[in-house]
Amino acid sequence: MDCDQVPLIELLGGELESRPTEQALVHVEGCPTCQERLHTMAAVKALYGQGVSRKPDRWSFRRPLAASLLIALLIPTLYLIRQSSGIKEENLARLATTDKHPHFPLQTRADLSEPSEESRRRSFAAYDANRFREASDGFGRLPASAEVLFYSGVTHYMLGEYSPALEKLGRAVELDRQWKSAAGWYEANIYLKTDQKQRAEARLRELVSQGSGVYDTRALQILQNLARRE
Amino acid sequence: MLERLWDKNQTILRSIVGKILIDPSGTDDVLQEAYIKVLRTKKHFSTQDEAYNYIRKTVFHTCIDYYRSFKRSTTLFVHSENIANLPSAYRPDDPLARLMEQEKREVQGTILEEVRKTIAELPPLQREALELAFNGNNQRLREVCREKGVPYSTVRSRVTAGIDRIRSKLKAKGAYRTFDEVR
Repeated sequence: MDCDQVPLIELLGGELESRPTEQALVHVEGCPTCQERLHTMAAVKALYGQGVSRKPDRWSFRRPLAASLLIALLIPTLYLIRQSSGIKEENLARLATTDKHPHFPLQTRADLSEPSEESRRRSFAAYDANRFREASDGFGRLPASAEVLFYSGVTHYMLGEYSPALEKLGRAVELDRQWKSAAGWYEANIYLKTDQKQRAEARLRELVSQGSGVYDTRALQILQNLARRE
Repeated sequence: MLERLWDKNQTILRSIVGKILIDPSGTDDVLQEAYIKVLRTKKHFSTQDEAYNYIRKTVFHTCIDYYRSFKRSTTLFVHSENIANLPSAYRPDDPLARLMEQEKREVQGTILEEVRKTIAELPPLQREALELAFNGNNQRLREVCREKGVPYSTVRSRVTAGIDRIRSKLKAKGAYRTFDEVR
């Protein structure tokens, strides 16, 4: 795998499934540049999570005081929770003292199949370039993981092929529920485009109630628009 | 199920943490923190794949939290009752270890500050690309790009260019050298 093909951003976001995660890790292990890129990306991600350009405000002097009070209250509570939780102490001790294990298990490397990786790369490149027909054909030939099924579903959606799109999106969620919100969003749009208003509303309400953070505001907007039209 | 899956995949999880952390001595702390989070979750999983994806995501997120902890003067993850279990080289009664710890903390403190400063100096297109890629919401980059009408490959190459610039600044500050010595 070439450095430019390693999906470091997706790896760091925990978006990749087991196999692509292993493939990326195998590459990173042997590539100091990608290792350093991954470290740097993690630091950047940590900053963006808390606002890169955050400036101190006029309340900032109260924060250390509030934090100290909170810690003083939390420590005894956490101690009690930990005492009463089911976590095995020997497991914690084992984790704290385990020796370093820097080498990735060799047996997983044998499983990696390059031809499949190459067609996967080509399919996603076609998807990125909006060549949806080519992407759809490519996804059809790949092993049906949740990620492949999801993008295959979106590709069918973009091509206006709504039945296969629904089928693929449904299967993606069956395999892995982390795709539920994203798939639900496209399903709702398909129902709207095919005049199945009740189903669309049901999906949109689900998205709002899940509070996914990405789709819920948009789902709410559509629901409000639909209500206004009535 | 979660405990069993953790045990089964412990080597891979350790490998993930080892690759993400600039400071390898934090690996055990991160694993411990992630393990606690995983065991305490009240989520229900219908398949093993789903449960393992949750474990993996938790490990990734805990690594990012570890970087956030660089800003604080005290170590966030190691609980005082576990210090006794740490390998002897890390115990505070060893003067050499104390010196190394002090040096490590100084570097940790400068890392986020250096990253923050370099981001502000980046060309606007690279900065926007970093924001798209790491803005903290759960949407996938590929989807964000499609919705914004920006080519995914363009965003990726701008991210790489920006990251490489920050990386060279960190190298110049000796971040990697110090952690290599700790290693």
